[in-house]
Amino acid sequence: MPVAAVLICLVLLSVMPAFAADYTGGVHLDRSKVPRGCSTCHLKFNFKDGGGPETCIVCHGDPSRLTRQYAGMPRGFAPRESDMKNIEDEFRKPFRHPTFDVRGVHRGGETLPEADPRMPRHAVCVDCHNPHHVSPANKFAGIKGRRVGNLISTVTAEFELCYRCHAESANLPGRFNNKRAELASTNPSFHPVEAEGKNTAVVSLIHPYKERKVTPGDVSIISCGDCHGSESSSGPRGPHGSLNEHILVENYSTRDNQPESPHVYALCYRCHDRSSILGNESFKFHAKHIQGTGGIAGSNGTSCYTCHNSHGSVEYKYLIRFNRSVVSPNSQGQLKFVEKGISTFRGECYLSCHGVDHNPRVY
Amino acid sequence: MMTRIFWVMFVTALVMGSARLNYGAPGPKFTDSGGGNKHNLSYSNTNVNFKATNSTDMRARQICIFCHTPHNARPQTTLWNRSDTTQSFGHYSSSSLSLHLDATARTASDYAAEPNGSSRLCLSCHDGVTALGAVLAGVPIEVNGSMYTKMTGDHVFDRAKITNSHHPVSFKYTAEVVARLKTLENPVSDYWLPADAPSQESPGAPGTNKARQFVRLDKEKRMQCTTCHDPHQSQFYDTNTPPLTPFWAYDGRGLSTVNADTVHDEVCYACHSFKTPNP
Repeated sequence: MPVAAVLICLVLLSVMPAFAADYTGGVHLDRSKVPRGCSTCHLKFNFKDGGGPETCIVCHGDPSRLTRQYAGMPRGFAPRESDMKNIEDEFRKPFRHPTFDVRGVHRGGETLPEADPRMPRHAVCVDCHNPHHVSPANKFAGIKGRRVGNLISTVTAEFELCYRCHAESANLPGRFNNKRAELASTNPSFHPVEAEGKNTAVVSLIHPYKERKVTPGDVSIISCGDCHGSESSSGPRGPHGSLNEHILVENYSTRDNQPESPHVYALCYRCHDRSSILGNESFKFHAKHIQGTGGIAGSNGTSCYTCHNSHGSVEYKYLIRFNRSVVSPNSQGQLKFVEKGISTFRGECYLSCHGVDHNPRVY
Repeated sequence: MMTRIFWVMFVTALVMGSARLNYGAPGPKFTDSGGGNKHNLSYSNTNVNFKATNSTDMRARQICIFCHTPHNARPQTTLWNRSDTTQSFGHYSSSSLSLHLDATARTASDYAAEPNGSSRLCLSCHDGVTALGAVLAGVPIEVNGSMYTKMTGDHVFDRAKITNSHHPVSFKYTAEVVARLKTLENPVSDYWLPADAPSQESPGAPGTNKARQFVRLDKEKRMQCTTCHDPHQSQFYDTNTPPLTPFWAYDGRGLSTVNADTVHDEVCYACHSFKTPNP
């Protein structure tokens, strides 16, 4: 090749735009995936919130929607990616965020947590996802957190996103409580979402979960999404909907008087080894509480939830918080847990449960 | 014979001259590729929805008269020949628009009144109320068989569209406004001035936006219809239905891939960044 031609090639190569190579926008602005670009959602001046959840599910819903034509979308709008999950299916499940159930109440630019107690609870797509910034690596990129003075911080951790609605919101229903308060790393115990846990001995942890991250493979921090999400392993990640109550990835029963099985507390058994727990390797009466004393009526076991709060405890270590609908004060009017030693799995319980007075029961 | 040669040379010179002019600032065009220029309302146009129909009215054959007149023009802009629209439009007022919600941004951008400037001129046809032939000089020109024919369909901008679903117009887009919006929307970057905007093809390189020479704010630094649209002709003709780039001000020059999508989006990128703040 003549030198001149080589030089021309080099010059051309050096000035060629690095298309998509140093792409810094969200996936919706990546033309290799969204071939029609901005007009996909913003055709014919459709600038009002891009059209709401109904527009989102055109691409993220039933795949048959992709083959249809829509007045507000250009021809050939269908994304080039074929591995998109069917979010629409998730919202048909019995336990789901109210995205399609509560319509017409979302306001753009909402300040969250909600300050107006009369505001109806809702969760449209843009409450959790910013379509301009969202990427596979960061599903909540570009979502605003709380306003601090003139500045609005951006959400960098998933729990901050959840707290927008599940923490100090003035419109929290009575059955909900402030998750920021439950998960606060200043509590005596908490599931390690905001930070590594305080307790140095956590019962029956399955590898790679560890109390502290020591080696690179250790997992000492979990996220809301580790427990809350689709029950389908092939479904989309994130708490859109689930067949399990509380939008949980596995079943978790909080009822009293039920036989233990791998399914009943499947959620807990993802991280806490069932055979270790039922083998009383930590708390020596675990099996007795969970399985009960026999198969006859009234002697079934009780839920993990009877003694433990899944998120955290503002009173005790080891996530201990008694479910007052099952546990009541003992004959002396006392209801408490007292630890003996530190991380020794020894303590005292003062309570009454299943007609048994703990005054105290020492272990 | 000499006369014919003279005319051929004269026309050639005009075409070449206009071609040179087009490189800098394209002027009016009688037709657009693939069909008539919809802003040409004259009798001889083809393939358009609205045009003059009274062949005995000599004004019906004039291209410019529907908007411009050499005499007795209104003062709004160059030789303007239309009455101001009588409609009240309001401003885009979505509760997600910081320009609308924040007092500082609203004041800095002067986002307080009705559409003004050249956008208001566009509305003298696009309001769906004013007759298309209602010129200032003389009686209205007959369009589609009537002197009262108004625009209909998607191209009409009424109060509902302006306040709800249309891109906001007539606000000052200055460095001060951009700074305020970035503070309110996304501290890293959600907006930039066209001069600072990277191209969608090289998002990491500031000031490489290919549309920035074509995207124009008016003399008050206001974003108007004419920021994205060239009322005289579309600089980029696309065959989509509806077109993604109607009367588009940018022709795609400088883009390595020139199609309706890239040409459309490069204009959006001139002001909007969407850079992921926390990847």
